[in-house]
Amino acid sequence: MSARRFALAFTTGALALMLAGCDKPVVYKQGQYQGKPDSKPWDNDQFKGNQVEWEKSIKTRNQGQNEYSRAVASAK
Amino acid sequence: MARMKFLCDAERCIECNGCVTACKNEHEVPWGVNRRRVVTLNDGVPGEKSISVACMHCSDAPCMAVCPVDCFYKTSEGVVLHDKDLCIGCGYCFYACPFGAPQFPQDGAFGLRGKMDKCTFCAGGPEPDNSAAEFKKYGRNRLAEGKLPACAEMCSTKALLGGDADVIADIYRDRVLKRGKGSEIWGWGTAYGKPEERPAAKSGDKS
Repeated sequence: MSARRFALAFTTGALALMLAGCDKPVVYKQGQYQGKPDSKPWDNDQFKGNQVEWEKSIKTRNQGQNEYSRAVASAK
Repeated sequence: MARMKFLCDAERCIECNGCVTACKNEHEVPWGVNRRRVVTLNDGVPGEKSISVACMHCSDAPCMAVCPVDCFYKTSEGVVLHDKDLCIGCGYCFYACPFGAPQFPQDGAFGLRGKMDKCTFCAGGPEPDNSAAEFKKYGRNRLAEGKLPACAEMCSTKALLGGDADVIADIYRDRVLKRGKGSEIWGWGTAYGKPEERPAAKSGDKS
């Protein structure tokens, strides 16, 4: 392998490695976030693991902060 | 999946400190520790502006990067939390944080610096949700109850918005457009410059 081809392969590999670290999503496994024990907010007695129900509750409260939509809803 | 953020509308904040009081009351935060505070610029001068500041739950949090014992973690909702059992109270996170969010309770005859305390986005800590141990160390876990942070929900003028970043950004954008001013501080023009401020292109120039 020529020196030029080796340099190209090395650069491509290094770039791929560097980009692999970009925008890594948070990984949750075995009741842990990045090694710290914590549960998901819907894994409790209230939501019983129902993520959809939890997201619905958060969405409702999110929209509760928008008085423009609240005003329209209350006028109906 | 929601990515939780705070957004404070300086046009609406009236420096009532309701958010600060709500936070202290909700989590029974000790004396001397303020997880949230209101900062006023040009205080006393007509046109003064106030914003409510706490941990901004950064996407690439500098506190996480500098912690020597790696006590921080980020949840899938984008909330930056820490484990007080691992924290050694060194204060590196305080120096790294651009918002002054990390707080250190002072105690004892020599003002001993305790373990770091900060806004948890009302999401508690590593202990079981809504347990006594979690409340004692981190305060109430409202997120596990399907609620948003007390400070944002308590805000009387809705200056402080908290929740899914996409949703609160939409609420804020809608508000700015409806009130008819402030749209100049939103979007493309702010990021890339306004067209009227750019030098006029000469005819024949390539774009």
